[in-house]
Amino acid sequence: MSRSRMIGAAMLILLAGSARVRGKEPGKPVRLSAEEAGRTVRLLDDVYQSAVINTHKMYVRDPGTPSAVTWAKQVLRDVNGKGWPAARVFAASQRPLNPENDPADAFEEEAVKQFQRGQPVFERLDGDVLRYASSIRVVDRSCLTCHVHNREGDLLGGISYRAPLLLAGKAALGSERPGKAAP
Amino acid sequence: MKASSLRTALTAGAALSAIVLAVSSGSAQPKAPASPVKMPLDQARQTVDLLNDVYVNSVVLTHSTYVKDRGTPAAAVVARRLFKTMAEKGWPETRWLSTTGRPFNPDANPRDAFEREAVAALKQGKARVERVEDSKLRVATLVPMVDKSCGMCHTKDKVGDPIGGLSYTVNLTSK
Repeated sequence: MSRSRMIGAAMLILLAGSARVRGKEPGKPVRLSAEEAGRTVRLLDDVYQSAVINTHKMYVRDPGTPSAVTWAKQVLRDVNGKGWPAARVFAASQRPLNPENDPADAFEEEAVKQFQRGQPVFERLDGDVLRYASSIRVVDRSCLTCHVHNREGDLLGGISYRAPLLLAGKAALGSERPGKAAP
Repeated sequence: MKASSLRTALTAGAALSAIVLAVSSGSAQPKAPASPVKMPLDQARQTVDLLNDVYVNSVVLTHSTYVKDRGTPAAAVVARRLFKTMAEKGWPETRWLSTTGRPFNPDANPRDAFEREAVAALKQGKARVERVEDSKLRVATLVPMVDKSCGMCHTKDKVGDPIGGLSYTVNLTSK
């Protein structure tokens, strides 16, 4: 067997061994059109918000169990690591349960202000990056297991997203979720 | 507003009343399923890849974080609830696919020609199968037995066995 064929065979074996679960290879962040970015951050937001609530209801019974948000942060890290539009959990409180959840920048600080005024979401363009944030509130008493100083309806924080765009400011924001989009 | 734009005004009026209706119907009752999102083929493929990364990661992490014994709800069960919620919101449909012919939940058996062919391919170790039919993108991805912890319930299978998959359906925009 020639050297190049041996290398080829070795690469095939490596590929076969590593690609059992298909997923985006870790790498360059994906860049999307403005419309696609708007839809993608809404898709991610629906999936993460729903996952946290489902997971919380299914498994979290006492403060000794890892919180659904702690679980979600690991999922976000793994998915972000593949270069998809990145998501981050941030807290609205002056005293978050975990200091790494403080608002990271002016966008998240502004999002907290908007949430406090009752807005459920906040978005804007920062250069060629679409920023989007949605709020997390105390949805029912089960949240109080850990958030002992809060009441139902209290703002806890949010999830913020950054989606790099193909062309800065090329199209208007405001892509909708399913059912609201233009036919 | 120009006098000629009566149609615009009517449309705006209809949109406004739709918003008023939406607001007055309140959030207490469950929302009706949103009409499914449609997208071009390349975006549909990318959306499936993204969802697959989110779902597979979340199942693996749910399992390692919460499922310590057979009395705990399986990670696949909480994932199925998530698929249902997402489909109700109008996002692409997702469901579990068993390749073994002996799923814990018979819902995971293949339901149509695409899924039957996909199962045959996944069993051979193929990571992803797709087809476009009836203005829909169908995709099936392999979810093998990831590690020994899966064997807690999947006692008849070995690590690496191609025991399951996810089946996605995305509505395509017409060209």
